Amino acid sequence: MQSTTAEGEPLSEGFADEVLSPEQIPLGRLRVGWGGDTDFSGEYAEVPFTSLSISRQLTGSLPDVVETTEGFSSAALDAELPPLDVEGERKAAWWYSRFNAESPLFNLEPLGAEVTADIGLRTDAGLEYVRKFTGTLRNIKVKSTSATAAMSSLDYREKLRAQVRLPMVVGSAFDATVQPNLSVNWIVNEALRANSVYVVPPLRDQCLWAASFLGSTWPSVGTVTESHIPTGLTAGTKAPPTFNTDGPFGPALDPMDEDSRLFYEFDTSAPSIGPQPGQAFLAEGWIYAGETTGVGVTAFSLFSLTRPGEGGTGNFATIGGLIGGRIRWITTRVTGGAPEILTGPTITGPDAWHYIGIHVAYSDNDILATFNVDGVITADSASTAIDQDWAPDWTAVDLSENQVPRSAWQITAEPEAPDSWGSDFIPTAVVERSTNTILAIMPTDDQDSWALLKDLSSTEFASIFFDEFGIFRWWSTTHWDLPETQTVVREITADNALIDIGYQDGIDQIRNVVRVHATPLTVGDPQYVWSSGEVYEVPAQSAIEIWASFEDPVWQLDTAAWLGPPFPDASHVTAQDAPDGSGNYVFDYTATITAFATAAKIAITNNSTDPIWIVGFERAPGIKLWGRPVTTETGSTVSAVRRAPYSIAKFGEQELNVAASPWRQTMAGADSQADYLSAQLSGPRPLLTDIFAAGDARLLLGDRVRFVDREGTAIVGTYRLVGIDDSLAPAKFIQGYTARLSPTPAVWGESTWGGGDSWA
Amino acid sequence: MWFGRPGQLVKLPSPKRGIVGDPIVESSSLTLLSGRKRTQLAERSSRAWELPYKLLTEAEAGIFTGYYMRHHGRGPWTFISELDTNLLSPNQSSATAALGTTEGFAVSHGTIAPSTDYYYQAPQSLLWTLPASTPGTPPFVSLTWPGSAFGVPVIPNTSYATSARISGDSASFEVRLDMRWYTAAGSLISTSQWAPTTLSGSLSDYSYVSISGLSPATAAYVLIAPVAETMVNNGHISIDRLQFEIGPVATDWVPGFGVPRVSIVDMGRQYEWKGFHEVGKIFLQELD
Repeated sequence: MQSTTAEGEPLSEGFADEVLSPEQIPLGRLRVGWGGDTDFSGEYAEVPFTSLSISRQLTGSLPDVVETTEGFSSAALDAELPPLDVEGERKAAWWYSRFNAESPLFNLEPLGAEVTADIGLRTDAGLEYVRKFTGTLRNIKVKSTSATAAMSSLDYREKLRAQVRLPMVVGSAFDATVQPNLSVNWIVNEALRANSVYVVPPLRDQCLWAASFLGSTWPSVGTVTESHIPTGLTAGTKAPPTFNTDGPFGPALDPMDEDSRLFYEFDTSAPSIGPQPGQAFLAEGWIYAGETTGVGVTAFSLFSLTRPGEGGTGNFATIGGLIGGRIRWITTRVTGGAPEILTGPTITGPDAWHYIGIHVAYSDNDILATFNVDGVITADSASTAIDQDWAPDWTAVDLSENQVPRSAWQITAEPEAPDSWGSDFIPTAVVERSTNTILAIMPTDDQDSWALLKDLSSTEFASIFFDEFGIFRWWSTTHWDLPETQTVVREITADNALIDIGYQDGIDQIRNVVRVHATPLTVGDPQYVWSSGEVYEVPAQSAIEIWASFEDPVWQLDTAAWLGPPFPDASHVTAQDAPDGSGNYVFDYTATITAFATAAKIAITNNSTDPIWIVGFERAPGIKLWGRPVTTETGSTVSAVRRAPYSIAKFGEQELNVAASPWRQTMAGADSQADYLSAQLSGPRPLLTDIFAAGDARLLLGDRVRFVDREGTAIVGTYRLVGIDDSLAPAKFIQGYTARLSPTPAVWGESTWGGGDSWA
Repeated sequence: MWFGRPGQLVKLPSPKRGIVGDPIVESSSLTLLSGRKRTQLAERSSRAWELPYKLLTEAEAGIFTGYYMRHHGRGPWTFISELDTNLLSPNQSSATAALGTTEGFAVSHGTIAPSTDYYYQAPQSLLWTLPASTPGTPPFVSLTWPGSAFGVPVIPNTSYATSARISGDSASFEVRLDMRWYTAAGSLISTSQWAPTTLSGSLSDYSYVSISGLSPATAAYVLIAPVAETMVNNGHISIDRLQFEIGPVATDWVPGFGVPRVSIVDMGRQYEWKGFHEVGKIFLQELD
């Protein structure tokens, strides 16, 4: 239930009283950002309306009668718009028609404009509005003779159109050195970021390396070359890093034991950084630290910038760290000697998440560091000649033996300290910890982001939607165990609001045979996973791009393309001077392979002045790619089946098939879901229908309410709202609800029969 | 009754008895399952007038047809009726109680807000909070009108009176009411003002303050302004029960409806014989 106004201020104490008042003054406010106006400052941004309806429904994959609140929601708004002039002497069509050059709205492209809608009440504190909708304008309909124009709008779900090409990630067990772990949260973040919706801060320009640490060490930018924690001293007992800590944006990387390794190489396409005149970088992210983690008494490393093979915290490295609670940047000399130490603010107080930002700029004779701890910005500098004592470029970051929980780090080649630090970041997506255990990325190439997010959420019965303020929400099933979601926020009774309520019983709502299908995965041995049957011509000094699509996702695709005749156990791109494969190999070309989960992009550039042909000896494949296919363990899906004999005897067999999802990758997951569904569906449960009430703008999807209709249907029980339809016209605000059963466990001595509680 | 544009108002012929000026508040009535009733009301009211006429000369009828047929351009039109005493809007005359906002008020210095802590008449008043600085000229609250930046439309050469209940939290406060007369173009013509009243020093103890004056011949608007002639830094002033009326002396407060902006939405025109028309009723609709 919303407790703040559309402006973010707390609702007055009188608002709740006004909701229950027998006489109310409902209010509405509709705003359209014509012509790209995003702050609604334009003259005609506030649009009068004669009717306004907002529909928000969670549509799930399970029968409506289950107690689980799950599914996806796309909010839609429809409004009837009268003329914008007070005197009403212009028709609505005159104002809203895109062909009328006299209208002030002419040439202000309406489609895609920002839209917000607020509904409220007149209270003793004045006019108080609650935000009900944020989205974009999708449709305007005008008719010359009509008194009103019609507009419709959808929430930001419409923006999630980008196709997502994910890199191949296998979380654990199939490579001792690179075990990043893998969570659905990590995938969700990548999918949302592709649509400019941000769980963690967006990547800055010139990003060298970034890792969200949302359940995986796999980076968004850069390459992970080592990622594991030791579970013993012998080889082969390594395990992926864990993410049991709740971070500021979801799961966060846990502290890692001694001898753990976490090492990344920078994106080679980004500008280089190093302790050289004119070079600068920004490193930023979040750590969990405070007095009881020992920050105040011991020093530890935040990260080291280094080069592959030259050690983590050794003489070569430069270290950002904390000592005595103070953040520091230490630049060491290659030749030894005293390092340059620059010091920033102190982390104080009990354990908490803290934002850390360090910008360092090197010039001929000094080093300037700008520090930011939780928005407190300080600077420190050192005068020193930058000469041969200093290291060449850094190309890697070392987080081995990570000592504190951490979240959302990135390093960029920022020339100046930023105006907007990560401490200013406000998420546009809030994603709860996923409950699904997955091993590997599955194909996503044929899906847009919304379809992918729906697949991911439905696999674990999560709920996804954009809320009233346009913030993307991912609610896991554990969301419903939180104390705040267990609270009954409102009692809607025949006395105070209910206009109608009904229910429906039906034998087709019973499911006494439940099958949940899963797709367990395995990673195959290295092998050739793709080869071209075609001969490709690359004209002189030209480039071509070839896309390879894999039948199964491929892990550890060899992207270091071997040029020339085939080389065993490696990807290769072979070029000759003629298409017939006669064996006259040429070498004046380059090939770059970019790997995705189920595809690879092969870019070939011919540097010579003659054409070349990509073809093997005697027309054998000119391109072969080497990697490890990820396949199902059994070659097909497996099923967890639950039958309820008592129910079958009474109602006959009623089957529910929960289809296989590529994202349900363990039998254990299928088992637990089958148990859950069988318990919920084997007996009849009424489905509430036709619920209408005097409106309460504060109510939200997922709110737990208690319906009381003692004299009519005798429905008395607690339900979760999974659908809310607002209908507002002058002097009339009605809501329709869709609700799922959400009984409170009965307590002996407190609950009463018929009180709506659930007796176990 | 006067009609038209401020500065160009024309006197309407006198209607016959039976003028209707219904204030309409849109409403809906919900019946809950228990049988209880719940009403939902629109935030604002608007008035619909019916002005009945018997026989009008062609010139008299032409006043209405001129506006109705847009010989004077497009509306909305200002309609001033002596039949209502208090010419301030509901939110102004109730000192924010009607809408719960400061709509209809502006302030030159400090801030204004509805207050339920102090009032002459429940439930609330307009509370004016002055800052710790003193401006060069005495600060004031002004009463605004939606169609103009210069106040409420007025009839020229007419006596007007304004009154209010005002209290302050310092006995050093001296307040007065101004009526600042403006032309249609927004030029200040003159100001009607009397000697200031010293407040008691208690926000609960209201003083009655009034002013009257004759609108100049070129007046189109009046800016009504409670003025803090002597202000107190960080002080508070409560204003309630505002009234602006036609007449030489302020009278007892009654609820105000405001000077409306209207459209002529319907009228008749029967041809009795040349030069005379039976127009029946003129229908006016208040706009907002």
